[in-house]
Amino acid sequence: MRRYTALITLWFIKALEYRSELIVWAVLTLLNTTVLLAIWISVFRGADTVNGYQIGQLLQYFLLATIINGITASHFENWRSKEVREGKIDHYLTKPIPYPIQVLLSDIGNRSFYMMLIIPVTLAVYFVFSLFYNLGAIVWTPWSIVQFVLLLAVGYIIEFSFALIAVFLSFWFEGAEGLEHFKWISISLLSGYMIPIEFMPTWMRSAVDALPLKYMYAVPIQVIQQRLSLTVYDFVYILSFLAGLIAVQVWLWKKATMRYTSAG
Amino acid sequence: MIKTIKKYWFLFWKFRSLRAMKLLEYRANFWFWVTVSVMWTFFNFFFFDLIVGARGNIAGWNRNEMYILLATFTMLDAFTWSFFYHNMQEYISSIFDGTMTLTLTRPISPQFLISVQANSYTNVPRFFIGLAMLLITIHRMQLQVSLLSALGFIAFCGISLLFVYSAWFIVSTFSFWVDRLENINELVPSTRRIWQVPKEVYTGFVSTLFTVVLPFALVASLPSEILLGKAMMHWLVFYAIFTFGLFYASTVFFKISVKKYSGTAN
Repeated sequence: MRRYTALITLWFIKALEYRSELIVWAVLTLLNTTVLLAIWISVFRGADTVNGYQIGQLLQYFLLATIINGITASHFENWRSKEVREGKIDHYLTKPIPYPIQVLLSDIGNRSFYMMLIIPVTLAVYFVFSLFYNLGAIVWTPWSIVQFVLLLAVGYIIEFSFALIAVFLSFWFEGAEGLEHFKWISISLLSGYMIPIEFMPTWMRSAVDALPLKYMYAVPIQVIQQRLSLTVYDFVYILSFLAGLIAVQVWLWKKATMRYTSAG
Repeated sequence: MIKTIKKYWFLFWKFRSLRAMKLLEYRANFWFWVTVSVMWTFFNFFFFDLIVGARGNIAGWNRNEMYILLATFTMLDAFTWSFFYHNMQEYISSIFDGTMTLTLTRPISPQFLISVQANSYTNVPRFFIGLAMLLITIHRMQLQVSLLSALGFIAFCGISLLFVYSAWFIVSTFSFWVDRLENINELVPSTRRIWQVPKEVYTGFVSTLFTVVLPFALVASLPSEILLGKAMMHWLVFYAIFTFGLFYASTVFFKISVKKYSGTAN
Protein backbone atom coordinates (compact mmCIF):
# COMPACT_ATOMS: atom_id res chain seq x y z
CA MET A 1 0.00 0.00 0.00
CA ARG A 2 2.87 2.36 0.87
CA ARG A 3 4.28 2.22 -2.64
CA TYR A 4 0.90 3.25 -4.04
CA THR A 5 0.58 6.23 -1.72
CA ALA A 6 4.21 7.11 -2.48
CA LEU A 7 3.41 7.25 -6.21
CA ILE A 8 0.32 9.37 -5.61
CA THR A 9 2.42 11.77 -3.49
CA LEU A 10 5.13 11.88 -6.16
CA TRP A 11 2.64 12.89 -8.87
CA PHE A 12 1.02 15.41 -6.54
CA ILE A 13 4.45 17.02 -6.15
CA LYS A 14 4.98 16.89 -9.93
CA ALA A 15 1.63 18.67 -10.35
CA LEU A 16 2.91 21.37 -7.99
CA GLU A 17 5.82 21.86 -10.38
CA TYR A 18 3.32 22.66 -13.15
CA ARG A 19 1.07 24.75 -10.89
CA SER A 20 0.94 27.79 -13.17
CA GLU A 21 -0.36 25.64 -16.02
CA LEU A 22 -2.97 24.06 -13.75
CA ILE A 23 -4.07 27.51 -12.59
CA VAL A 24 -4.54 28.48 -16.26
CA TRP A 25 -6.68 25.35 -16.83
CA ALA A 26 -8.75 26.15 -13.74
CA VAL A 27 -9.34 29.73 -14.98
CA LEU A 28 -10.36 28.44 -18.41
CA THR A 29 -12.77 25.93 -16.87
CA LEU A 30 -14.39 28.73 -14.91
CA LEU A 31 -14.54 30.92 -18.01
CA ASN A 32 -16.47 28.15 -19.77
CA THR A 33 -18.84 27.85 -16.82
CA THR A 34 -19.37 31.63 -16.71
CA VAL A 35 -20.30 31.76 -20.41
CA LEU A 36 -22.61 28.75 -20.03
CA LEU A 37 -24.31 30.41 -17.05
CA ALA A 38 -24.66 33.68 -18.99
CA ILE A 39 -26.33 31.79 -21.87
CA TRP A 40 -28.84 30.12 -19.56
CA ILE A 41 -29.55 33.33 -17.66
CA SER A 42 -30.39 34.94 -21.01
CA VAL A 43 -32.69 32.01 -21.88
CA PHE A 44 -34.61 32.58 -18.63
CA ARG A 45 -35.08 36.34 -19.22
CA GLY A 46 -38.78 37.11 -18.71
CA ALA A 47 -39.66 33.60 -17.49
CA ASP A 48 -39.70 32.12 -13.98
CA THR A 49 -39.67 28.48 -15.00
CA VAL A 50 -38.47 26.69 -18.14
CA ASN A 51 -38.95 22.92 -18.54
CA GLY A 52 -39.54 22.49 -14.81
CA TYR A 53 -36.38 24.37 -13.80
CA GLN A 54 -36.18 27.71 -12.05
CA ILE A 55 -33.18 29.86 -12.95
CA GLY A 56 -31.55 29.25 -9.53
CA GLN A 57 -31.88 25.48 -9.87
CA LEU A 58 -30.31 25.57 -13.32
CA LEU A 59 -27.40 27.71 -12.17
CA GLN A 60 -26.93 25.32 -9.28
CA TYR A 61 -26.97 22.46 -11.82
CA PHE A 62 -24.10 23.91 -13.85
CA LEU A 63 -22.03 24.94 -10.84
CA LEU A 64 -22.35 21.40 -9.47
CA ALA A 65 -21.44 20.07 -12.92
CA THR A 66 -18.24 22.18 -12.79
CA ILE A 67 -17.35 20.72 -9.38
CA ILE A 68 -18.02 17.17 -10.59
CA ASN A 69 -15.92 17.86 -13.69
CA GLY A 70 -13.08 19.11 -11.50
CA ILE A 71 -13.15 15.85 -9.55
CA THR A 72 -13.71 13.30 -12.30
CA ALA A 73 -12.38 14.56 -15.66
CA SER A 74 -9.14 12.94 -16.89
CA HIS A 75 -7.02 14.50 -19.62
CA PHE A 76 -3.84 12.47 -19.93
CA GLU A 77 -4.47 10.93 -23.39
CA ASN A 78 -2.32 13.44 -25.23
CA TRP A 79 1.01 13.17 -23.47
CA ARG A 80 0.63 9.50 -22.53
CA SER A 81 -0.07 8.55 -26.16
CA LYS A 82 2.94 10.57 -27.26
CA GLU A 83 5.11 8.68 -24.74
CA VAL A 84 3.88 5.36 -26.14
CA ARG A 85 4.53 6.42 -29.74
CA GLU A 86 8.02 7.65 -28.94
CA GLY A 87 8.85 4.45 -27.04
CA LYS A 88 9.32 6.24 -23.74
CA ILE A 89 7.40 3.92 -21.43
CA ASP A 90 10.19 1.36 -20.86
CA HIS A 91 10.93 2.61 -17.38
CA TYR A 92 7.30 2.14 -16.38
CA LEU A 93 7.30 -1.43 -17.69
CA THR A 94 10.31 -2.45 -15.63
CA LYS A 95 8.68 -1.37 -12.35
CA PRO A 96 6.88 -3.88 -10.10
CA ILE A 97 3.56 -2.04 -10.51
CA PRO A 98 1.63 -2.64 -13.78
CA TYR A 99 1.67 0.31 -16.19
CA PRO A 100 -2.13 0.92 -16.11
CA ILE A 101 -2.02 1.11 -12.30
CA GLN A 102 0.86 3.60 -12.49
CA VAL A 103 -1.20 5.71 -14.89
CA LEU A 104 -4.12 5.55 -12.45
CA LEU A 105 -2.00 6.56 -9.44
CA SER A 106 -0.37 9.42 -11.34
CA ASP A 107 -3.77 10.68 -12.42
CA ILE A 108 -5.05 10.55 -8.84
CA GLY A 109 -1.99 12.53 -7.70
CA ASN A 110 -2.43 15.15 -10.42
CA ARG A 111 -6.17 15.32 -9.88
CA SER A 112 -5.80 15.85 -6.13
CA PHE A 113 -3.84 19.03 -6.75
CA TYR A 114 -6.25 20.25 -9.42
CA MET A 115 -9.20 19.61 -7.10
CA MET A 116 -7.55 21.78 -4.46
CA LEU A 117 -7.64 24.61 -7.01
CA ILE A 118 -10.94 24.22 -8.77
CA ILE A 119 -13.28 23.23 -5.92
CA PRO A 120 -12.68 26.23 -3.61
CA VAL A 121 -12.85 28.64 -6.56
CA THR A 122 -16.10 27.11 -7.85
CA LEU A 123 -17.56 27.19 -4.35
CA ALA A 124 -16.64 30.89 -4.15
CA VAL A 125 -18.43 31.45 -7.49
CA TYR A 126 -21.35 29.43 -6.12
CA PHE A 127 -21.47 31.74 -3.10
CA VAL A 128 -21.40 34.88 -5.27
CA PHE A 129 -24.26 33.56 -7.43
CA SER A 130 -26.24 32.62 -4.31
CA LEU A 131 -26.21 36.32 -3.35
CA PHE A 132 -28.08 37.24 -6.55
CA TYR A 133 -30.14 34.12 -7.30
CA ASN A 134 -32.08 31.70 -5.16
CA LEU A 135 -29.97 28.62 -5.86
CA GLY A 136 -32.02 26.52 -3.48
CA ALA A 137 -30.72 24.76 -0.40
CA ILE A 138 -29.00 21.40 -0.79
CA VAL A 139 -30.34 18.93 1.77
CA TRP A 140 -27.61 16.44 2.61
CA THR A 141 -28.88 13.12 3.94
CA PRO A 142 -26.51 10.20 4.66
CA TRP A 143 -28.07 8.23 1.78
CA SER A 144 -27.74 11.08 -0.72
CA ILE A 145 -24.09 11.58 0.31
CA VAL A 146 -23.38 7.86 -0.18
CA GLN A 147 -25.06 7.89 -3.59
CA PHE A 148 -23.26 11.08 -4.64
CA VAL A 149 -19.82 9.80 -3.62
CA LEU A 150 -20.45 6.47 -5.37
CA LEU A 151 -21.52 8.27 -8.53
CA LEU A 152 -18.43 10.49 -8.41
CA ALA A 153 -16.33 7.33 -8.30
CA VAL A 154 -18.32 5.90 -11.23
CA GLY A 155 -17.84 9.14 -13.20
CA TYR A 156 -14.11 9.07 -12.54
CA ILE A 157 -13.77 5.42 -13.57
CA ILE A 158 -15.64 6.09 -16.83
CA GLU A 159 -13.53 9.18 -17.65
CA PHE A 160 -10.29 7.41 -16.72
CA SER A 161 -11.21 4.28 -18.67
CA PHE A 162 -12.04 6.19 -21.85
CA ALA A 163 -8.74 8.06 -21.59
CA LEU A 164 -6.78 4.86 -20.93
CA ILE A 165 -8.42 3.09 -23.87
CA ALA A 166 -7.29 6.00 -26.11
CA VAL A 167 -3.73 5.55 -24.77
CA PHE A 168 -3.85 1.79 -25.41
CA LEU A 169 -5.08 2.37 -28.95
CA SER A 170 -2.01 4.53 -29.60
CA PHE A 171 -0.02 1.25 -29.59
CA TRP A 172 -1.70 0.63 -32.96
CA PHE A 173 -2.81 3.99 -34.34
CA GLU A 174 -1.03 7.29 -34.97
CA GLY A 175 -3.01 10.15 -33.44
CA ALA A 176 -5.12 7.96 -31.15
CA GLU A 177 -5.07 10.83 -28.65
CA GLY A 178 -7.50 12.56 -31.00
CA LEU A 179 -10.07 10.11 -29.66
CA GLU A 180 -10.33 12.43 -26.66
CA HIS A 181 -12.46 14.68 -28.88
CA PHE A 182 -14.96 11.84 -29.34
CA LYS A 183 -14.92 11.42 -25.56
CA TRP A 184 -15.58 15.14 -24.98
CA ILE A 185 -18.42 15.29 -27.49
CA SER A 186 -20.09 12.13 -26.17
CA ILE A 187 -19.79 13.25 -22.56
CA SER A 188 -20.85 16.84 -23.29
CA LEU A 189 -24.01 15.70 -25.06
CA LEU A 190 -25.01 12.45 -23.40
CA SER A 191 -24.06 12.89 -19.75
CA GLY A 192 -26.02 16.06 -18.98
CA TYR A 193 -22.80 18.04 -18.54
CA MET A 194 -23.74 20.84 -20.95
CA ILE A 195 -27.49 20.43 -21.13
CA PRO A 196 -29.86 18.96 -18.52
CA ILE A 197 -31.89 15.95 -19.64
CA GLU A 198 -35.16 17.91 -19.28
CA PHE A 199 -34.08 20.25 -22.10
CA MET A 200 -33.37 17.45 -24.57
CA PRO A 201 -35.81 16.36 -27.28
CA THR A 202 -37.65 13.09 -26.60
CA TRP A 203 -35.55 10.94 -28.93
CA MET A 204 -32.36 12.18 -27.33
CA ARG A 205 -33.70 11.71 -23.83
CA SER A 206 -34.45 8.07 -24.66
CA ALA A 207 -30.87 7.63 -25.89
CA VAL A 208 -29.45 9.25 -22.75
CA ASP A 209 -31.70 7.10 -20.55
CA ALA A 210 -30.44 3.98 -22.25
CA LEU A 211 -26.75 4.93 -22.00
CA PRO A 212 -24.61 4.89 -18.83
CA LEU A 213 -23.02 8.34 -19.32
CA LYS A 214 -25.92 9.97 -17.44
CA TYR A 215 -24.40 8.60 -14.20
CA MET A 216 -21.49 11.02 -14.66
CA TYR A 217 -23.36 14.34 -14.33
CA ALA A 218 -27.15 14.28 -14.72
CA VAL A 219 -27.88 11.60 -12.12
CA PRO A 220 -25.48 12.76 -9.34
CA ILE A 221 -26.79 16.33 -9.67
CA GLN A 222 -30.38 15.12 -9.55
CA VAL A 223 -29.51 13.05 -6.49
CA ILE A 224 -28.18 16.17 -4.74
CA GLN A 225 -31.16 18.23 -5.85
CA GLN A 226 -33.43 15.54 -4.34
CA ARG A 227 -35.04 14.89 -7.73
CA LEU A 228 -33.90 11.28 -7.95
CA SER A 229 -32.69 8.32 -5.92
CA LEU A 230 -30.78 5.31 -7.23
CA THR A 231 -32.60 2.00 -7.57
CA VAL A 232 -31.33 -1.59 -7.58
CA TYR A 233 -31.59 -1.52 -11.40
CA ASP A 234 -29.19 1.46 -11.49
CA PHE A 235 -26.61 -0.36 -9.36
CA VAL A 236 -26.80 -3.52 -11.48
CA TYR A 237 -26.52 -1.47 -14.69
CA ILE A 238 -23.55 0.57 -13.40
CA LEU A 239 -21.68 -2.51 -12.17
CA SER A 240 -22.24 -4.41 -15.43
CA PHE A 241 -21.07 -1.44 -17.50
CA LEU A 242 -17.95 -0.87 -15.40
CA ALA A 243 -17.13 -4.60 -15.50
CA GLY A 244 -17.39 -4.51 -19.31
CA LEU A 245 -15.26 -1.37 -19.50
CA ILE A 246 -12.54 -2.87 -17.29
CA ALA A 247 -12.59 -6.13 -19.29
CA VAL A 248 -11.97 -4.15 -22.50
CA GLN A 249 -9.00 -2.40 -20.89
CA VAL A 250 -7.47 -5.65 -19.61
CA TRP A 251 -7.82 -7.23 -23.06
CA LEU A 252 -6.38 -4.20 -24.84
CA TRP A 253 -3.44 -3.99 -22.44
CA LYS A 254 -2.58 -7.67 -23.00
CA LYS A 255 -2.57 -7.14 -26.77
CA ALA A 256 -0.67 -3.84 -26.47
CA THR A 257 2.21 -5.31 -24.41
CA MET A 258 2.77 -7.90 -27.13
CA ARG A 259 2.95 -5.16 -29.74
CA TYR A 260 5.19 -2.65 -27.96
CA THR A 261 8.78 -2.22 -29.19
CA SER A 262 11.38 0.42 -28.33
CA ALA A 263 15.05 1.04 -28.86
CA GLY A 264 17.62 1.12 -26.07
CA MET B 1 8.24 49.11 -51.51
CA ILE B 2 6.60 47.00 -54.26
CA LYS B 3 9.65 44.75 -54.28
CA THR B 4 9.27 44.18 -50.52
CA ILE B 5 5.57 43.42 -50.83
CA LYS B 6 6.36 40.96 -53.63
CA LYS B 7 8.96 39.25 -51.45
CA TYR B 8 6.51 38.86 -48.54
CA TRP B 9 3.75 37.70 -50.87
CA PHE B 10 6.07 35.07 -52.37
CA LEU B 11 7.13 33.90 -48.90
CA PHE B 12 3.54 33.68 -47.71
CA TRP B 13 2.60 31.28 -50.53
CA LYS B 14 5.85 29.37 -50.25
CA PHE B 15 4.93 28.49 -46.65
CA ARG B 16 1.46 27.43 -47.79
CA SER B 17 2.87 25.07 -50.38
CA LEU B 18 5.34 23.62 -47.87
CA ARG B 19 2.46 22.91 -45.49
CA ALA B 20 0.45 21.36 -48.30
CA MET B 21 3.35 18.98 -48.98
CA LYS B 22 3.43 18.06 -45.30
CA LEU B 23 -0.30 17.36 -45.47
CA LEU B 24 0.27 14.90 -48.32
CA GLU B 25 2.88 13.16 -46.21
CA TYR B 26 0.39 12.46 -43.38
CA ARG B 27 -2.86 11.93 -45.30
CA ALA B 28 -4.57 9.63 -42.78
CA ASN B 29 -3.82 12.09 -40.00
CA PHE B 30 -5.34 14.88 -42.11
CA TRP B 31 -8.60 13.01 -42.66
CA PHE B 32 -8.84 12.06 -39.02
CA TRP B 33 -8.57 15.69 -37.88
CA VAL B 34 -10.97 16.81 -40.61
CA THR B 35 -13.50 14.38 -39.13
CA VAL B 36 -12.88 15.74 -35.63
CA SER B 37 -13.31 19.38 -36.69
CA VAL B 38 -16.46 18.65 -38.70
CA MET B 39 -17.84 16.74 -35.71
CA TRP B 40 -17.29 19.74 -33.42
CA THR B 41 -19.03 21.99 -35.96
CA PHE B 42 -22.16 19.84 -35.98
CA PHE B 43 -21.97 19.57 -32.19
CA ASN B 44 -22.04 23.39 -31.91
CA PHE B 45 -25.05 23.77 -34.19
CA PHE B 46 -26.88 20.96 -32.45
CA PHE B 47 -26.07 22.24 -28.94
CA PHE B 48 -27.33 25.77 -29.65
CA ASP B 49 -30.34 24.39 -31.48
CA LEU B 50 -31.27 22.58 -28.26
CA ILE B 51 -30.85 25.74 -26.18
CA VAL B 52 -32.84 27.89 -28.62
CA GLY B 53 -35.51 25.18 -28.49
CA ALA B 54 -36.12 25.93 -24.79
CA ARG B 55 -37.63 29.41 -25.36
CA GLY B 56 -37.35 30.01 -29.10
CA ASN B 57 -34.50 32.50 -28.76
CA ILE B 58 -31.26 33.34 -27.00
CA ALA B 59 -31.06 36.96 -25.77
CA GLY B 60 -33.55 38.03 -28.44
CA TRP B 61 -31.83 36.18 -31.30
CA ASN B 62 -34.21 33.68 -32.89
CA ARG B 63 -33.17 30.33 -34.38
CA ASN B 64 -32.32 31.67 -37.87
CA GLU B 65 -30.42 34.65 -36.48
CA MET B 66 -28.49 32.26 -34.24
CA TYR B 67 -27.63 30.17 -37.32
CA ILE B 68 -26.21 33.31 -38.99
CA LEU B 69 -24.13 33.96 -35.88
CA LEU B 70 -22.97 30.35 -35.60
CA ALA B 71 -22.11 30.21 -39.30
CA THR B 72 -20.02 33.39 -38.92
CA PHE B 73 -18.42 31.95 -35.80
CA THR B 74 -17.64 28.68 -37.61
CA MET B 75 -15.89 30.46 -40.49
CA LEU B 76 -13.86 32.73 -38.19
CA ASP B 77 -13.04 29.85 -35.87
CA ALA B 78 -11.94 27.63 -38.77
CA PHE B 79 -9.57 30.40 -39.86
CA THR B 80 -8.15 30.96 -36.38
CA TRP B 81 -7.48 27.22 -35.88
CA SER B 82 -5.96 26.90 -39.33
CA PHE B 83 -3.63 29.83 -39.00
CA PHE B 84 -3.19 31.38 -35.61
CA TYR B 85 -3.07 28.27 -33.42
CA HIS B 86 -0.17 26.62 -35.24
CA ASN B 87 1.84 29.81 -35.71
CA MET B 88 1.46 30.87 -32.10
CA GLN B 89 2.30 27.36 -30.90
CA GLU B 90 5.56 27.42 -32.87
CA TYR B 91 6.25 30.98 -31.71
CA ILE B 92 5.85 30.06 -28.04
CA SER B 93 7.87 26.86 -28.39
CA SER B 94 10.68 28.75 -30.13
CA ILE B 95 10.88 31.20 -27.20
CA PHE B 96 11.01 28.40 -24.61
CA ASP B 97 13.45 26.13 -26.47
CA GLY B 98 15.71 28.90 -27.77
CA THR B 99 15.12 28.37 -31.51
CA MET B 100 13.75 31.90 -31.81
CA THR B 101 17.30 32.91 -32.74
CA LEU B 102 16.70 31.48 -36.23
CA THR B 103 13.68 33.73 -36.74
CA LEU B 104 15.42 36.85 -35.45
CA THR B 105 18.40 36.46 -37.75
CA ARG B 106 16.35 36.19 -40.96
CA PRO B 107 16.34 39.26 -43.26
CA ILE B 108 12.56 39.80 -42.95
CA SER B 109 10.19 41.08 -40.30
CA PRO B 110 10.22 38.58 -37.39
CA GLN B 111 6.54 39.26 -36.63
CA PHE B 112 5.62 38.42 -40.21
CA LEU B 113 7.65 35.23 -40.16
CA ILE B 114 6.21 34.19 -36.79
CA SER B 115 2.68 34.85 -37.98
CA VAL B 116 2.67 33.06 -41.33
CA GLN B 117 5.18 30.22 -41.24
CA ALA B 118 2.71 27.52 -40.18
CA ASN B 119 -0.85 26.52 -40.95
CA SER B 120 -3.10 23.50 -41.10
CA TYR B 121 -5.67 22.53 -43.69
CA THR B 122 -7.83 20.35 -41.45
CA ASN B 123 -10.31 23.17 -40.77
CA VAL B 124 -10.88 24.07 -44.42
CA PRO B 125 -13.99 21.84 -44.73
CA ARG B 126 -15.28 23.47 -41.56
CA PHE B 127 -14.96 26.91 -43.14
CA PHE B 128 -17.06 25.74 -46.08
CA ILE B 129 -19.68 24.18 -43.79
CA GLY B 130 -19.99 27.60 -42.10
CA LEU B 131 -20.24 29.35 -45.47
CA ALA B 132 -22.87 26.88 -46.72
CA MET B 133 -24.85 27.29 -43.51
CA LEU B 134 -24.69 31.06 -43.89
CA LEU B 135 -25.95 31.00 -47.48
CA ILE B 136 -28.70 28.47 -46.70
CA THR B 137 -29.93 30.54 -43.74
CA ILE B 138 -29.87 33.79 -45.73
CA HIS B 139 -31.92 32.03 -48.43
CA ARG B 140 -34.34 30.54 -45.87
CA MET B 141 -34.84 33.89 -44.12
CA GLN B 142 -35.24 35.58 -47.51
CA LEU B 143 -32.81 38.16 -46.22
CA GLN B 144 -32.14 41.01 -48.64
CA VAL B 145 -28.37 41.41 -48.46
CA SER B 146 -27.20 44.60 -50.15
CA LEU B 147 -23.73 44.93 -51.64
CA LEU B 148 -22.84 47.35 -48.85
CA SER B 149 -23.84 44.94 -46.07
CA ALA B 150 -22.03 42.06 -47.81
CA LEU B 151 -18.87 44.18 -48.01
CA GLY B 152 -19.39 45.33 -44.42
CA PHE B 153 -19.71 41.70 -43.34
CA ILE B 154 -16.46 40.73 -45.08
CA ALA B 155 -14.64 43.82 -43.77
CA PHE B 156 -15.71 43.17 -40.18
CA CYS B 157 -14.84 39.47 -40.44
CA GLY B 158 -11.38 40.72 -41.41
CA ILE B 159 -11.33 43.14 -38.48
CA SER B 160 -12.41 40.33 -36.15
CA LEU B 161 -9.57 38.14 -37.38
CA LEU B 162 -7.15 41.02 -36.84
CA PHE B 163 -8.55 41.48 -33.33
CA VAL B 164 -8.16 37.79 -32.46
CA TYR B 165 -4.69 37.73 -34.01
CA SER B 166 -3.54 40.81 -32.07
CA ALA B 167 -4.90 39.53 -28.75
CA TRP B 168 -3.34 36.11 -29.37
CA PHE B 169 0.00 37.62 -30.39
CA ILE B 170 0.12 39.77 -27.24
CA VAL B 171 -0.68 36.79 -25.01
CA SER B 172 1.92 34.63 -26.79
CA THR B 173 4.51 37.41 -26.49
CA PHE B 174 4.13 37.17 -22.71
CA SER B 175 6.17 33.97 -23.09
CA PHE B 176 9.26 36.20 -23.14
CA TRP B 177 8.42 37.27 -19.60
CA VAL B 178 7.59 33.92 -17.96
CA ASP B 179 9.87 30.96 -17.33
CA ARG B 180 7.51 28.19 -18.41
CA LEU B 181 3.84 28.25 -19.26
CA GLU B 182 3.24 25.63 -21.92
CA ASN B 183 -0.52 26.10 -22.11
CA ILE B 184 -0.36 29.88 -22.59
CA ASN B 185 -1.41 29.13 -26.18
CA GLU B 186 -4.77 27.81 -24.95
CA LEU B 187 -5.82 31.14 -23.39
CA VAL B 188 -7.12 32.95 -26.47
CA PRO B 189 -8.74 29.91 -28.15
CA SER B 190 -10.69 29.40 -24.93
CA THR B 191 -12.29 32.81 -25.40
CA ARG B 192 -14.14 31.30 -28.39
CA ARG B 193 -16.89 30.41 -25.96
CA ILE B 194 -17.40 34.14 -25.41
CA TRP B 195 -17.82 35.05 -29.07
CA GLN B 196 -19.90 32.01 -29.92
CA VAL B 197 -23.01 33.72 -28.56
CA PRO B 198 -24.69 37.11 -29.19
CA LYS B 199 -23.21 40.02 -27.24
CA GLU B 200 -26.66 40.60 -25.68
CA VAL B 201 -26.20 37.39 -23.67
CA TYR B 202 -23.90 39.29 -21.34
CA THR B 203 -25.30 41.76 -18.87
CA GLY B 204 -23.95 44.05 -16.15
CA PHE B 205 -20.26 43.83 -15.29
CA VAL B 206 -19.68 40.80 -17.55
CA SER B 207 -21.12 42.75 -20.48
CA THR B 208 -18.77 45.69 -19.84
CA LEU B 209 -15.86 43.29 -19.56
CA PHE B 210 -16.56 41.33 -22.75
CA THR B 211 -17.79 44.15 -24.99
CA VAL B 212 -15.75 47.19 -23.90
CA VAL B 213 -12.67 46.19 -21.90
CA LEU B 214 -11.88 42.97 -23.79
CA PRO B 215 -14.44 43.04 -26.61
CA PHE B 216 -14.33 39.33 -27.48
CA ALA B 217 -18.14 39.27 -27.47
CA LEU B 218 -18.13 41.46 -30.59
CA VAL B 219 -16.01 39.12 -32.75
CA ALA B 220 -18.87 37.16 -34.38
CA SER B 221 -21.78 39.33 -33.21
CA LEU B 222 -20.93 42.49 -35.15
CA PRO B 223 -20.41 40.90 -38.61
CA SER B 224 -23.66 38.92 -38.08
CA GLU B 225 -25.51 42.08 -37.05
CA ILE B 226 -24.35 43.78 -40.26
CA LEU B 227 -25.89 40.98 -42.32
CA LEU B 228 -29.08 41.05 -40.26
CA GLY B 229 -29.30 44.82 -40.63
CA LYS B 230 -29.24 45.55 -36.91
CA ALA B 231 -25.66 46.75 -36.43
CA MET B 232 -25.18 50.00 -34.51
CA MET B 233 -22.65 52.45 -35.94
CA HIS B 234 -21.10 53.33 -32.57
CA TRP B 235 -20.25 49.66 -31.91
CA LEU B 236 -18.68 49.27 -35.36
CA VAL B 237 -16.54 52.39 -34.99
CA PHE B 238 -15.48 51.47 -31.45
CA TYR B 239 -14.56 47.92 -32.47
CA ALA B 240 -12.58 49.00 -35.54
CA ILE B 241 -10.59 51.63 -33.58
CA PHE B 242 -10.01 49.20 -30.70
CA THR B 243 -8.76 46.50 -33.08
CA PHE B 244 -6.29 48.70 -34.94
CA GLY B 245 -5.08 50.05 -31.60
CA LEU B 246 -4.62 46.51 -30.33
CA PHE B 247 -2.69 45.54 -33.45
CA TYR B 248 -0.37 48.49 -32.98
CA ALA B 249 0.05 47.57 -29.31
CA SER B 250 0.94 44.00 -30.29
CA THR B 251 3.79 45.16 -32.55
CA VAL B 252 5.11 47.58 -29.90
CA PHE B 253 4.87 44.92 -27.19
CA PHE B 254 6.77 42.46 -29.40
CA LYS B 255 9.58 44.97 -29.98
CA ILE B 256 9.89 45.58 -26.23
CA SER B 257 9.60 41.91 -25.26
CA VAL B 258 12.05 40.53 -27.79
CA LYS B 259 14.82 42.36 -25.92
CA LYS B 260 14.19 39.91 -23.04
CA TYR B 261 15.02 36.98 -25.29
CA SER B 262 18.14 34.97 -24.65
CA GLY B 263 19.05 31.82 -26.52
CA THR B 264 22.14 29.94 -27.49
CA ALA B 265 23.18 30.05 -31.15
CA ASN B 266 21.42 27.32 -33.14
